[in-house]
Amino acid sequence: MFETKIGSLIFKNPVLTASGTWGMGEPFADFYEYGLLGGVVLKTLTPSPRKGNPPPRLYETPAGLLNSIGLENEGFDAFERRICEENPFSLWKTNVIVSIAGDEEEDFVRLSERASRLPGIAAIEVNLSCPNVHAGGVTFDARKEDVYRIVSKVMEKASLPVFVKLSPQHDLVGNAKEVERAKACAVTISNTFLGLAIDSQKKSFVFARKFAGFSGPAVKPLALANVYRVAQAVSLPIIASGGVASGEDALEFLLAGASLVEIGTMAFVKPRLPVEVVEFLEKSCGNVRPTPLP
Amino acid sequence: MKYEERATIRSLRREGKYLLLSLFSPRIAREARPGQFVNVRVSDTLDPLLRRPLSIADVVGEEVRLLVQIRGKGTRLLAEKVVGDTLSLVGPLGNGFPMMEREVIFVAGGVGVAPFAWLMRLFPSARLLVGFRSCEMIPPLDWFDEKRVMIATDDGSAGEKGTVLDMMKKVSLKDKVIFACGPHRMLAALSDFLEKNSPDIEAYFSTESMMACGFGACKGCVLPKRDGEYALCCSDGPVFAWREMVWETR
Ligand SMILES: Cc1cc2nc3c(=O)[nH]c(=O)nc-3n(C[C@H](O)[C@H](O)[C@H](O)COP(=O)(O)OP(=O)(O)OC[C@H]3O[C@@H](n4cnc5c(N)ncnc54)[C@H](O)[C@@H]3O)c2cc1C
Ligand SMILES: Cc1cc2nc3c(=O)[nH]c(=O)nc-3n(C[C@H](O)[C@H](O)[C@H](O)COP(=O)(O)O)c2cc1C
Ligand code: FES
Repeated sequence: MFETKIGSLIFKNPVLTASGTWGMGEPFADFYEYGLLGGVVLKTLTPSPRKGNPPPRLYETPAGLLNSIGLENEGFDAFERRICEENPFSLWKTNVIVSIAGDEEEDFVRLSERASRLPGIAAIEVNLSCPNVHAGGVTFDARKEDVYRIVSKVMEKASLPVFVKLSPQHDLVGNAKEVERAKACAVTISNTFLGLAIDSQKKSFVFARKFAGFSGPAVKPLALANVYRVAQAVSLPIIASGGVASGEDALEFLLAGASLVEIGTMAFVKPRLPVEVVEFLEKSCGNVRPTPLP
Repeated sequence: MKYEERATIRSLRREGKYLLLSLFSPRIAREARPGQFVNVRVSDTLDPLLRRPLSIADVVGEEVRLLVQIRGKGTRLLAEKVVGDTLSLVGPLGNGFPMMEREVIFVAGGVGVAPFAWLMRLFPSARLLVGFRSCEMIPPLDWFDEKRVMIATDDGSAGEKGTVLDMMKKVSLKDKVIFACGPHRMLAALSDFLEKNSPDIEAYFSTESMMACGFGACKGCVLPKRDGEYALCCSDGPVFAWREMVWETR
């Protein structure tokens, strides 16, 4: 299989899991060996533990899923302690990528620095598509200047490769250029789309927080367009995320200009999908990376 | 160990609002415990996208039995299948009811009877008290030892008129353990009842929630606990010790 190099990191194949859809690994342990994948991205960690949003947290749409999980996670401190004591990642034989988010800008810097010191971690995915508590809840990537400033500060302190995950709600092309200018190693296009569900019988919103993140096969054409647009604008490696449901889908993202492809929602339905995608790419591409379309 | 397994439909019977399915699924059948569930892909297309969680009603040899109430898009598609068709199952999932050498009373509401088909075989003297809205909502009960099934209906069209709680009032709970499964509203009412009448009783409730994965990956299926935290219905449950959870009517 063709390899992918990002900075000093080598991915034996271009298939990754997506943050928040794979937990911290345990849920998929019975389904496949993690070493079969190019990499795995852990659930986003925040400085303090987060309880997450009240139920309901899920709503199904034709070929899509709305989620309002609210970044439920154990918190970075607990994670750090566990990883230092147990050092589990070295056994996984794949690139383990830690995803981090914060309540305020400095959190990204602090957590990147701390994540860089943990054993067995290959890279950091900075999840900028989460709300900034000091900015009235808009996401950290709502303004280009902020993207540049946060990523630059993170790059000063992080000693591991940094990927920056953006929200499709803002100027993705503009933001990806800022990520490139700030010298991150890759940009992840993208997090979930803004969606809303209304219960017409109860005449109320389905979710306590009204809006939710939209993902799954339904978003694939949107994600594909975004990946292609960003690929036309930057030379930074792109990690695609949005709606991959088959090997063909993954290949389409590579043809649109992505270097790596993450699989999220569809792995809830087909837990072994990431491995099936690797097998498909092995068969259809072998050792030759598909050439992106012009 | 949980598996994704392609199961062949060995028998399928549709009666009224219910579907009785027997699936050849040897790996899942071997690992399953009563009270666990499988997550069923009702169609190989992308709509509906998510699997549908269904309790394992019984395991007979290498077959897994499901008792399904036809409700919406997904269960309607299941009802269109024919013998010999295959379905992708993920399971067995979740934690079942605890096995114990105690006298147990089973309490169910509606299609919540499903897991008790198996449990009644494992607890050969336990009785099942079950409530339905009306006689049309009673599923075929041939998988159950009907002599030990006590039925109540809200409108009195079958069995006793009243709810399952009205039947509970007539049985002694002393030294008994309760296993319950049904809609949240019934479990909330049962919890109220136990709180008032038998607060120290040992009881286990099987819960429901919307699910995406069914195995702890999405964190979408949370239910509130009394200690203020959330539990995952799929992998911490679906069976919980009743005192751990919040049962207020939602
Ligand atoms: C652990 C568990 C075990 C279950 N066991 C059984 C069983 O043995 N037999 C059975 O008939 N049903 C069971 N259910 C409920 C079953 O999953 C739903 O009825 C089914 O998913 C509805 O799918 P649908 O596409 O037909 O309906 P939809 O069109 O999706 O919805 C129809 C109705 O069903 C409700 N519903 C949808 N998904 C769920 C869900 N995950 N849990 C509860 N209600 C839901 C919706 O709120 C709506 O009112 C179980 C649910 C859980 C969580
Ligand atoms: C239930 C759920 C939880 C998610 N949690 C996170 C998260 O914690 N951090 C993050 O960066 N993205 C999160 N995402 C977004 C996914 O990583 C992915 O980018 C998005 O779902 C699009 O890809 P998909 O269509 O393959 O799922 C989550 C998505 C879902 C469905
Ligand atoms: S359904 Fe995904 S965690 Fe429970």
